[in-house]
Amino acid sequence: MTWMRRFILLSIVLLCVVLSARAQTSTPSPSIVLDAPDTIGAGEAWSLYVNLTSGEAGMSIPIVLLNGLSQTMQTVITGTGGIARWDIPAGMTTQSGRSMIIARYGDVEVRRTIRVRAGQAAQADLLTTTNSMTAYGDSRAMLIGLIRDAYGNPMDLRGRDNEALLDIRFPNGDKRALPLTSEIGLAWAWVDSLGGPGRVRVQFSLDQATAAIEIQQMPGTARTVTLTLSPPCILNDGRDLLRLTTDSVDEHGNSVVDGTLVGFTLGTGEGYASTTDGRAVLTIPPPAMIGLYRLVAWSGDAASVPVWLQVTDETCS
Amino acid sequence: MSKNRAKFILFITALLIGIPASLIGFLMLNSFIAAFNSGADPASIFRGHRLILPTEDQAQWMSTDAAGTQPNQNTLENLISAYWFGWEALARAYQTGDSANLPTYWAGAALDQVQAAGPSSSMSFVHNRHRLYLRFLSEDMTVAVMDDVGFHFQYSSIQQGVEFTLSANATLVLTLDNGFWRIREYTIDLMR
Repeated sequence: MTWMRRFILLSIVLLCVVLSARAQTSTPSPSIVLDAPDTIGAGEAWSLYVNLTSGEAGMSIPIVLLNGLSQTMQTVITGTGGIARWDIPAGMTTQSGRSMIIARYGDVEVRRTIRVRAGQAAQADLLTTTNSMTAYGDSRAMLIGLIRDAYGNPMDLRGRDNEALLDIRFPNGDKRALPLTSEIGLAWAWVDSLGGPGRVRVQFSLDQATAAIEIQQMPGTARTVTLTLSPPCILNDGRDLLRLTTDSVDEHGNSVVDGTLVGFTLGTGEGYASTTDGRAVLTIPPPAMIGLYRLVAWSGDAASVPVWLQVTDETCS
Repeated sequence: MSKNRAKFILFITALLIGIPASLIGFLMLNSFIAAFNSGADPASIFRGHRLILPTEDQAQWMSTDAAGTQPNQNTLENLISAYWFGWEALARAYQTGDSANLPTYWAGAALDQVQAAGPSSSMSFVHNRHRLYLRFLSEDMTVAVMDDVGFHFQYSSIQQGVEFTLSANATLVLTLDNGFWRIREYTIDLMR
């Protein structure tokens, strides 16, 4: 029994010695706890609490706040209970995305992320891949919206499909509200032409962001060329000029686009003029030789009905 | 004074004025050209732009399956080159404290944000391992959206005694302005 008591007492003493030795050698290195909101809005003011678990006051702790590509360094000093607070003012954490807070104390480094969400849409750029498209539904243009908040952060419009719409007014008065396909920072849509030639007005509006753009709907290529001749009969005395006039329209009867080239063939000669409001005029001296001349005008694949010019040395009837 | 002596004096005077004037003119022309070469927009006609592609370790396309339209090889090369040099311009701005080169590769809101971040010569900035996923390319190949997944970067400052390495994901909008791709918008998610 005595041996048993001695063994138990010895074990207890040994245990106490080991525990006290361990307590003396392994002074726990204090760790840091960073307390911050999980999510803030871009540009909002917020506070970071730094808690030194050892509870020591008066300790300097350098902190780095990485927000997008900006970095801010600050050293805080712990107060009572080992707690320090860093008040980040409004307008400082402006870049959206996941930001990082890094605090260091001795060998300990603690990192914490905080999500910064973009604010409401405040700026928008509307781009188009073409400034003009053929009317009548024959072509289309891609419209792209770059939408940002007040700090220039791209917006994620996913989930806001019903709000992010393009209001389109076509030349014939038709209106369409076109939904956009959203990516982060960008929304896009195809717009098919509708109706005849004229201006297509496109507007985008979301929160405080507005943008507008115009696309020109152009007529098609010449389908019908009408040639008129003035005068149809002319004396070969060299005093008069011959005036050739064409009116060119597309398949829907609208004048072709300004500047369309029209060719004129008179016998073996050729001349060219460009259109304004669908009309091209060419004034030339008439042939010197008397006779009946065949005139044709053409633009692209379309050609006019031939008209005949009479050149005479007598009187025109 | 004889006529020959007068001619000789005139010749010597012209020589004395002409040589320094030519020298000064040459030096001024030289510094004028040097100013264009060093200070001009690298994309300008005075400097020209050579297409330099980053190595695979620096930046690499992982996916080019884009919505909108499919890119051609030329567009992909120009995009990745401009993107890489955008980060290089930022690194140079940190190295030298001179951010004059940033507008060559950054534009619009992204340029404002980068300039507001205030790269200073007190820090060095190193970046690599850009893994790029093209998400959108406009029909006329002038607007692109891409993700950069898990790229690494490192800030260090000897003066302030800090150095930290981070990895991040980024979503970027690039636009082709005057024949040159520029980063116009970005969102960066830093990872622990």
